[in-house]
Amino acid sequence: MTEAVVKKASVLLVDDEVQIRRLLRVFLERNGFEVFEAATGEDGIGEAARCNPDLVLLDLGLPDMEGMTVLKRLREWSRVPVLVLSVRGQEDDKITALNSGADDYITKPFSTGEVLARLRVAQRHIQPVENKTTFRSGQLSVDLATRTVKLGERTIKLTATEYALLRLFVTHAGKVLTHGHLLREVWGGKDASKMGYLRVYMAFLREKLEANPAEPELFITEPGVGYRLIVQE
Amino acid sequence: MPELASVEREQIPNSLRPFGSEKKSEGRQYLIATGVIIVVASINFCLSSFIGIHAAALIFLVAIVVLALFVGRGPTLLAATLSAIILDYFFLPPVFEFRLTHATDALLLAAYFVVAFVLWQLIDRTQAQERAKRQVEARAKALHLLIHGLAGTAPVDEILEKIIQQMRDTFKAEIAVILSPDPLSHECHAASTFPLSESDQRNATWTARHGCSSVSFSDDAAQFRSLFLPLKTSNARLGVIGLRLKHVLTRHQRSLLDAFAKQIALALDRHNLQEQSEKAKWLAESERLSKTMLNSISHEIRTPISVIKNATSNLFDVSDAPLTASQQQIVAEIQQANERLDRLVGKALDMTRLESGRVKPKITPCDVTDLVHVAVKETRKELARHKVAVELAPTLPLVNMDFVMTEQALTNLLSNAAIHTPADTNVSVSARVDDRSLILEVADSGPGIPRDSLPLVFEKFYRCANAPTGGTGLGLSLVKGFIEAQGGHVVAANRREGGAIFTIYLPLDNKADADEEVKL
Repeated sequence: MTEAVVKKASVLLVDDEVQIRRLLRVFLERNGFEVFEAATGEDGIGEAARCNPDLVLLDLGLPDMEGMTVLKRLREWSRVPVLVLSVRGQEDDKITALNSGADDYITKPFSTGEVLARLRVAQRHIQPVENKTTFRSGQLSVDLATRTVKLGERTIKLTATEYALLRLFVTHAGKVLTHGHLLREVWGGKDASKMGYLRVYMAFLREKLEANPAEPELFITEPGVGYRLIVQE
Repeated sequence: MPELASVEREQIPNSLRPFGSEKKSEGRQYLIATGVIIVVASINFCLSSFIGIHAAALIFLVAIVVLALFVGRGPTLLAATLSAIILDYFFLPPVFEFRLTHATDALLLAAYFVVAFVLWQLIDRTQAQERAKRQVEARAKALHLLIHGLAGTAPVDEILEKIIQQMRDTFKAEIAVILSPDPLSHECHAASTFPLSESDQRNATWTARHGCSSVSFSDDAAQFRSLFLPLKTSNARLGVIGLRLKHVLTRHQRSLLDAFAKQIALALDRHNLQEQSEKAKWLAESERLSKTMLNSISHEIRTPISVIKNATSNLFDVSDAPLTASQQQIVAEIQQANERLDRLVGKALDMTRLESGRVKPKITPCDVTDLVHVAVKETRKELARHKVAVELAPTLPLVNMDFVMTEQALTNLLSNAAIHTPADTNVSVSARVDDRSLILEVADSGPGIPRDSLPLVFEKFYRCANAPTGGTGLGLSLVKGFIEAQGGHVVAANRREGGAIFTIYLPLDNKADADEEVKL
């Protein structure tokens, strides 16, 4: 992972809580990030335009405008990875944020280690993923060019739908994919009645690719939001 | 028509009798008819020598015509008969004999009856028309008054008081109103003017249940005393209106009464709808407020908790010299307390959300294996010192439920077990289905639940006497809330081999939400 932080990456913190900003600044600077701060949504948008950060950490509860509005306005001109800070029990807000272009979310109260891990995942997405045709995570390796899926040395046979689903996870490795996103991309329609398919195919994928399907370590369920493919070293 | 009209007339109470029907009693009418004919006969007898028999006959005819204007059919016919007899006996030759010598005489007498009858018919028809007009007018006036009384935005009680007063005047009856589709369990409205007897209550219930204003039913069952009409619109049953009558209602009154009942029901329905829309507005406003409150509370409280959590965890990483053992101990205490505070806030917020009725379960097909795993993973830290066993039935179907709620319920049961059982004991989670429910069980090998606490464990803030510290008193009531919101139920019991067992039953026939209702 550390090779990803070659040049000093910059992070913009948009949060109205000065304590959170101060803490994260200390922590992120220690971990080799350059940190910008903004206390309001308006400032956040301005700072993002001015210092062109590599990553944005955005709190959804801002005093002057909804974090969601900031996200949408940011997305009008920038593709900078945005991580949203949210609280548990607001699954709908997380889904809305992810569907409006947020790259990930972190649930409050978060630990700084968690923030760092998520930032690294988001950071990796800045680098062109499309050129990388192979993906590795733990025992799993996927070659998108030859469409081969291996678990250790063993080649795993997947059906077309299973492969489509896996490919989606691999191209968004480490990111949360919402149920709606998965359904749209694989089954071609955000249709609640198709949720059953998604659940069944996730079980199939785990059955074939997890060391212990009952305790998945690659395909993680994000309750109420979606699934995430974990990148293991 | 005429017969009916006359019958009706007898039944109409005096106040309602239309104009022109205030006739003298039958007996008096016969007397008057007889008297008039005798007087006319006497005059004729005196004059007959001057004016001739035919003029006398005409005078009789005039008398009958005039009589017909004032008396009923019987007296008119009597007058005609009397005139014919008198004319035949005293005037037509042969005088003082009941014998007709000329066909013209017979024709003359027959003409009396024909004229009398036709006249009577004509007059009666005019009168009937007049009466009908009056009735229509009276009905329109009564309805107008009623609708006027029903309009406006006065409270229901006030409106009912006005209506009942008007109905008493219109129908000369005592009125009772029950504003409930189930009259047995409800008192009459306070404005009612008579108390319901037991049989009245039965009748009222019958009417409310069947929703039809059955005259025969009420009349037969209550011997023409009480009559009950349903207050209903095409889409709502609002109650029953009862009348205690001293007389039988006419057709017109009945139809007027039906119209009254319909108008009252419509007005009440409108009133209810208005109330509902106001309530909905109010609810929406309070929902908005509570959402704002919840959001700001969870934001305000969780931010400092976040800060403490981060600050303490960073102490280990940031500090240049390693912490001493006692310093580490203190930091660990802070962290533990902070986590407990976080759990408490989380649970209190969940509880508020559940109780506000704001959270609706998001029912989608869910993978039970996945769900159990997520819950176990979530509580791994808390149950680190327990032996956790997961037992899943080999083939579990997808079950329609709210993934997050059920997972939270299971998580709460697991952390409950973590708090209430000693370290190194077993905790088992199992999932299976029977033909109606998904059954999720969390069993522990702890001390179990005291017998008298069993029915109370799901109560908010209830804590068993022997409960160790660390619980919030909210976990189990949240479990109950999460499960019941999805139409399931949860049961607490003690295992025979020792320890407590909590069983969640979720119905298998829950319907998945329609597409547009779910955010995916």
